Amino acid sequence: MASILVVDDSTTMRQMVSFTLTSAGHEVIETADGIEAVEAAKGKRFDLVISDVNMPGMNGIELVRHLRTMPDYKFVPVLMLTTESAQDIKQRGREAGATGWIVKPFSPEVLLATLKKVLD
Amino acid sequence: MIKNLIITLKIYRDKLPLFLLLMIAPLALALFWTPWWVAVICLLIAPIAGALLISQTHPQPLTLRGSADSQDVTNAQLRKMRKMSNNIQHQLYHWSEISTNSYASVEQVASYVDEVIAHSETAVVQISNNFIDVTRKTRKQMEYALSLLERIRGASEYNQEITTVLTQIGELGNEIQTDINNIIVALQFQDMTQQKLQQLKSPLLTDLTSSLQTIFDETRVMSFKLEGSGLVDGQPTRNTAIQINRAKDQISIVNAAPVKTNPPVISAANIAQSGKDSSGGASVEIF
Repeated sequence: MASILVVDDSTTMRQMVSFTLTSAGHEVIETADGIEAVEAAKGKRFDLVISDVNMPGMNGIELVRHLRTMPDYKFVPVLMLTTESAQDIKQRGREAGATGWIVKPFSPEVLLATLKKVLD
Repeated sequence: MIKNLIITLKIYRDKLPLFLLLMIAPLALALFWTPWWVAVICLLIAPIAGALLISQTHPQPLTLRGSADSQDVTNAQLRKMRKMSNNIQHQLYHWSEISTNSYASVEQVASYVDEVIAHSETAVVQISNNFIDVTRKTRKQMEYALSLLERIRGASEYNQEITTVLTQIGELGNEIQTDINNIIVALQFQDMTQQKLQQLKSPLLTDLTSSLQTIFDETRVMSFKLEGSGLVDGQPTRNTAIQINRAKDQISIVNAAPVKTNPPVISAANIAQSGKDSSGGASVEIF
């Protein structure tokens, strides 16, 4: 079972992702924006990061970019979970170092299957 | 206040006789109730007040031709041009007023959007809390029932019946799981709606407010320029430009270049920050 950092400014989204992951037996830490996420990542090494893209303060793309500069997170999978589906933004995510892109609304089965794929 | 009254009267100068009538009507009625000497004083003052009103609001008589005016333009044409300019200025005042009202309405809409976002978020967070709570309890209940049935299955004479019940519980569990998944998907739409509303507020409403402010400013500037050009009545302010001080909400006339009000700029970063596009693209993509 993995320890996962969930980053989203929406309380409902965080709850839904967290509920899905904890139900599957994963350990979850929630943060509301990129800045909080970086702080959490400094304190602990997570196996996976799931982040929204559009957030106040530090957005998801900036967060990925920042995580990739941290030695512990150079190869940790980072999934973007967002309503954004335009190719140019996906491309920006890919260039920043994101591992995958999931478009909201997510289905729990799809999320867990994607998780399994990137963790394996 | 007097300045505003004069501006209003200028706008409605076509209806000046009606204004005069409205002013004189109470006086005419009062004549029957007041002593004769008061009536005489009022009758003497009334024409003076009327003359002042007309002098302040009625178009000033055409000045003589300016040195810059072409000789090809006749006095009649000049008069016609001034009349047209007056109409344009009235229209500008009207637009300025409309843009101010619209600006206030848009700000109100923006505040309603905030309220809707806050209310919907509170409601959905409450629902999702309850949902998680209920789901956890149901799951626990199911686990207890299953473990109990499993334990007594081997030792019971109703082995077949217990197996059937276990199968039914298993099927029910799968159905509940499907329902839970559907609810999880449905609850996410609040977040997506919220983002759409945020997008409506910023940049759409913000841009609209900014555009209305620009229209307001530009109509005022045009109006002042028109007045300064000498084509309409008012204080000539030739060779001057208008600067708008939004911080102090005032317009000042200075010797400066004309004000340029740029339309709001929407940068790519801005779009990325506030825009939540959901068009096209696969739902999951591993890079």
